[in-house]
Amino acid sequence: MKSKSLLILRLIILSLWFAAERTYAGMDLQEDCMINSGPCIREIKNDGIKVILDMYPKPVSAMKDIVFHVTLTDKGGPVTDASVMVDLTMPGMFMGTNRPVLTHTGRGEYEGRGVIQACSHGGKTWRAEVRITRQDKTASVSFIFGVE
Amino acid sequence: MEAGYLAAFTTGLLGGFGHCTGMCGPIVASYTLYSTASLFDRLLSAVLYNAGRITTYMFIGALMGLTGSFVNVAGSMAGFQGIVAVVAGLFMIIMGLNISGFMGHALSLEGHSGIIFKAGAYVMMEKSRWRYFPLGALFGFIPCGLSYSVFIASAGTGDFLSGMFVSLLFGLGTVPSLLLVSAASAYIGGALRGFLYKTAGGILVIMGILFLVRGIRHYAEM
Repeated sequence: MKSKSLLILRLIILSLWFAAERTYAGMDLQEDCMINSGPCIREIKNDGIKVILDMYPKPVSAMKDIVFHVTLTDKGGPVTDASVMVDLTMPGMFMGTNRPVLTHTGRGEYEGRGVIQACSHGGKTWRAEVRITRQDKTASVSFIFGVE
Repeated sequence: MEAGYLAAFTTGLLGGFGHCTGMCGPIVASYTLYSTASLFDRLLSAVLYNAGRITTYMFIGALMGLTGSFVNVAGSMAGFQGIVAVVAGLFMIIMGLNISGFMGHALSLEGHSGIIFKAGAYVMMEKSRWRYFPLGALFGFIPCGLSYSVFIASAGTGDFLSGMFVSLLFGLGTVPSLLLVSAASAYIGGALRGFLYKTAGGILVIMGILFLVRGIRHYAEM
């Protein structure tokens, strides 16, 4: 009885360690986009398209209506024929699917509304992957930012 | 919309194993470990608890769909959700102390505590196994980032029934993982009873304190 219980206890500890390792892996990622200071800029490799991401109102907060604003330029000119989506995920914690769709508002600017949900364990770091589809080809750039 | 329904169920199924077991598993484990009933009764309790939880999800989803606004409904419920998270934490601490044998009885608190302790003690001391349905319905309000993503989708439907159905499918998706936690807890509870039961109770107390802190933080941030 005693050895069986000890075996079960070891299995529990191993499972908890594995679950914690899986759950919290990646939570220590550093923010590379200071969204509350202003828009963040990336360039799609091999494509030359510049992606500017902004969100407002600032400070960007969880559980509030947020406007996602993306500007696309290609060699200085606006990209007007793309489909743009923002995939919001929390590094290291599965938080479901949250993908605001942006619509073209003119001059290569795309805008859409969404909500960044609060995380009850206190995590405030999010990743916004901006997915751009053009002529059946999809490319993406990633921004890691913090919310209030 | 069918894709949205499938996505809601998949979110529940995948998130159940990756998210719910870590965040809400301790609650499920606490009442399963606490019970001295048969394995069948404990699993039936788990089914009733989950039914209550899903009923709350359906209610919130319907409300989101009806209003078409996640932020407004979530904002209105925020204070209540914080209180529920605190209650869940207290519930786990009481169960943990009882299991450990450090507190004779939950009702011993009744004489010198507030209505929350009294309600919690009443729920846990009520003999009927049906008590787990209202308990699940109450704890379904615990703030949860994963369920928020589904409620955002419910609000996006802009329709009472669709919003409710999205949340129902999400809730059903989370059931397998939490039932697994219940089954494991029931088995482990039996194996550890009288041997490492104090340890199990101690873990529940620690988990309860973490829930309590989460609830207070959620309430403070609103």
